[in-house]
Amino acid sequence: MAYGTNPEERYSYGEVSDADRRDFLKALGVIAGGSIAGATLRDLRAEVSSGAAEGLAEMGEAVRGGLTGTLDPALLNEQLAGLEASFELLPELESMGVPEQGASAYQELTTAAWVINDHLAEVGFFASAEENLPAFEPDHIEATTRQLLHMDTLPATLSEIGFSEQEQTALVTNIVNTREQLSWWLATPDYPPADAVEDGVVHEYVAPLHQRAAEGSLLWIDGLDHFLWQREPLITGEMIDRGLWDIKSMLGGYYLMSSAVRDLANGEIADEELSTLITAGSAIEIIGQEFLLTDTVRITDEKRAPKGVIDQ
Amino acid sequence: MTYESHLADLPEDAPWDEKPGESVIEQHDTDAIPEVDVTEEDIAASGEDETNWLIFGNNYQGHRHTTADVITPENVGDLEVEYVLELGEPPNDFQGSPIVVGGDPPIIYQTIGPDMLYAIHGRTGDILWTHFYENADGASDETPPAERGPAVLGDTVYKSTLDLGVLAIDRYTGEEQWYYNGAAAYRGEVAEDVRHEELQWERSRGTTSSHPPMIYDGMLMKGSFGGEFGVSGFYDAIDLEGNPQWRVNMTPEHEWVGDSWQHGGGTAWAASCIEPDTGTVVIPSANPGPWYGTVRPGWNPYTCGKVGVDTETGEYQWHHQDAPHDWWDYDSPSPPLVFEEEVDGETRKFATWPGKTGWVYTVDMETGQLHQRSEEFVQHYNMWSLPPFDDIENAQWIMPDLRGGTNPQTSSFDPQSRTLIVKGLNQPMRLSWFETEYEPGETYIGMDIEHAPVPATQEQEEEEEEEEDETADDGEEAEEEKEETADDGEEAEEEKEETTDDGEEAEEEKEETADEEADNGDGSEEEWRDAWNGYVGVLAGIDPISGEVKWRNWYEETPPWGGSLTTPTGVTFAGDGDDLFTAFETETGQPLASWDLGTAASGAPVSWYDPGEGKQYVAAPAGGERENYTESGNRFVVFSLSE
Repeated sequence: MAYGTNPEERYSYGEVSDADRRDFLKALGVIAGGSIAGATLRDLRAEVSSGAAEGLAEMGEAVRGGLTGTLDPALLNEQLAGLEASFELLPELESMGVPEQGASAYQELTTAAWVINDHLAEVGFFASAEENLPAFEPDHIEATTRQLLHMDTLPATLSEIGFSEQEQTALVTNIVNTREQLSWWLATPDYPPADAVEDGVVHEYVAPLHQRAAEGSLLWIDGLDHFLWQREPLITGEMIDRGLWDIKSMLGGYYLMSSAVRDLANGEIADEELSTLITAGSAIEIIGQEFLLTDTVRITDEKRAPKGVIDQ
Repeated sequence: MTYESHLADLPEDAPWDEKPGESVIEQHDTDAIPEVDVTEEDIAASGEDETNWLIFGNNYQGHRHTTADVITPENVGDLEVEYVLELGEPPNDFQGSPIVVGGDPPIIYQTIGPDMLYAIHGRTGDILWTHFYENADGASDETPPAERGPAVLGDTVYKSTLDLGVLAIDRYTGEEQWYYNGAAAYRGEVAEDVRHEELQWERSRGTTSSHPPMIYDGMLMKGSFGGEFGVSGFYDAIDLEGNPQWRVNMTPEHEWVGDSWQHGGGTAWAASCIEPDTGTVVIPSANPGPWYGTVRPGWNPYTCGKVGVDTETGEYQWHHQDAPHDWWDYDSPSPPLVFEEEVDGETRKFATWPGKTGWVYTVDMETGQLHQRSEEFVQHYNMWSLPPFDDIENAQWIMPDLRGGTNPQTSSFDPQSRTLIVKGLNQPMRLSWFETEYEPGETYIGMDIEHAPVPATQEQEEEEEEEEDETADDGEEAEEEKEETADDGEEAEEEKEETTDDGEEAEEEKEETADEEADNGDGSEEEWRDAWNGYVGVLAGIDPISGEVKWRNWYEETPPWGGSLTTPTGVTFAGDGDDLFTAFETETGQPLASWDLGTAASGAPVSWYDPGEGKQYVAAPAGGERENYTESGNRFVVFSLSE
């Protein structure tokens, strides 16, 4: 790869190699010697300091203050329960293989998330997040990751929605190890640089960064019933398996982001945790969709199923 | 996935019939045009009637196959030049297909950019009338837009215009009947001043071109352009009096994030085809906008693929994206074809087309499900690698190039041997993206582009430089060498003929080496030069059912543009960028005979039989002035062979 952090070689599919953990720790200023930390979040947490939370707290407070509508706790509670149920469907998709014509199994994963999404857009959440949070700049990724590792509730939250300890670690290390590709997702005013924009024309059509992360994930998942069925002669089991990890990641990122908003609606979250989970959740959504493309959608001759063979 | 936003609103109060440009008509011997009633039944049967070529692809299915059988592999070398016309002026080029209405005499209708339409006596080449339309946005003198051909029905010839309209013109006189203003409304919004402001910019090749109209069951259908100008593409149907009937929004809103669909591209600027039993039109779709994807997450339908649409209602049938969420300009302008084949004991219909991605896609015509993706017909190297941000010096070299694979070069099909004739480019490129802003009428790409230098051209330039040095040293004048051209009807030198896959051993070795190595790598200069076989283009024969590449003929200096045609006697005609118009054996790709047209064969050839003369004719539009063309020119070369 010609550019930077070489994300394709550092992205973890539910299991984090020693090399990936070493890269992760190195990016956070921890020089690992001969031995490397264990593969759980708790192990990594022991190696990485939490850093200062003041900046993140100010951002979280600003996001909260920037909402233009009122969050609906009941709606968020109900739909998050629906989203939790989506994770339970993932093993069925693995055994299903290539969907039948007209199937909607993948679309059903996002039903609850779309309801949440519409509500978040309605109350100005995405606009406020973009207004008050930096894009995926190195300092912000580092601060967010440090804070994320030190959130006591994170392992339990991810465990509840079906992430094993290894998978939890993969979610977090992927944020840092794919940071250059994340940096390509600019905040809306940066398309192009803000001083070149006249009359806010860019804002008229480029959605806020965190909305692009969230809705992009849902659109990708929704389209897979059609895509996998349509490309059946090219599809392999590995494409489906890897794609399911990317989907699980995207839904995991969506869950972290929207559960933080639910906790905000219920008055149960600290400001630094709010900004941390919005950033981390969005980053996971983005990197999941970027790798879904690599793993499942963009099919080279080397990856495709052999001609005449349908491999499920 | 929902396509509720698939059809756009068509406001009744829009100025649909207001014509913004001016027509200039010249009439000559218009009495020579015989009255011939062209019906939709005639159009449907054109592929089986050797005297006609009544539609872009010579049938609704787009086969570009004639049933005229005077020309055979054995006698094709006897083909003689009947006449040569100079139409338009360089750097205009053709890209499209002529129409031929059989009669006494046959009449040819031919377009060339920008917006020039000719009626031509099929036997003598006399110009009978011209209708030149000056569109209101103007056209670049240096790189004028391409024209892709007219359509005929009844007493009328139709052409799309560079201001997104349609002109209906009396076939016998060249006089205007009506104009449809396709820019009268845009995204459901009525234009304030005849044409919508976001659809106005100087028309230029690469960003704008005419779309060959498609007529079926009382509907005329045409596409749009401007994917590099941040438009949202559309595909129109109007009735035969110029009234809008439906408009497909090629970037259906609900499938895009936010308002990104509004500038999402997906224009439809190349020829469509129709499956006539069900009345489904297959529409080619272009790239998304901007070229980098982070402002438009998701699949970005229907960009970079094909869309099946019901011709009566405009309703969605299916879509296939060759490159979902594209970053490389791997759009899908190649005109599709429809054919029927028995598979596993069941007779089924398929749509097929080559992509810029370097594969042929064959999908079930009823459902859009992929039946087969072919073997590669051009090389793939670092395929799908993302362009870096603002760093082209360190970007990876990748293949195919953004010009293909196959771009608008229209394929042909031989139903007897089930061979799809495909042209493609084969050249590395590298890209690097940068942020850009949308402004109406300005380009909206955000990508730096670099194409690999062509080895043969480099060697030639170096030799020329050395020769110049030597000439200067000894003071002698360089000897002028000029190739014989089609004017005098002689065949070109054999030296310029193509290399066939199963030809010389050395060429085989070269190709094998390239195929083995052209997978993925680090993109370093040494590596991509080794991986590239050094050929810039290819003509290939492909079985669209099995996906087998039957043969490939490679080109060293200039990639082949233009289209091809097939005959029932096993002959394929195809031109190239080195000025040669060549007859090949369809089954094997072996060259049978070649003629030097004096300029690159940029249009699509057609053929017809004239019973009044007892001759089969072949017309080869050639011309333009592209970067790799050997000679500029605009030549409409017509060959014939007596029975």
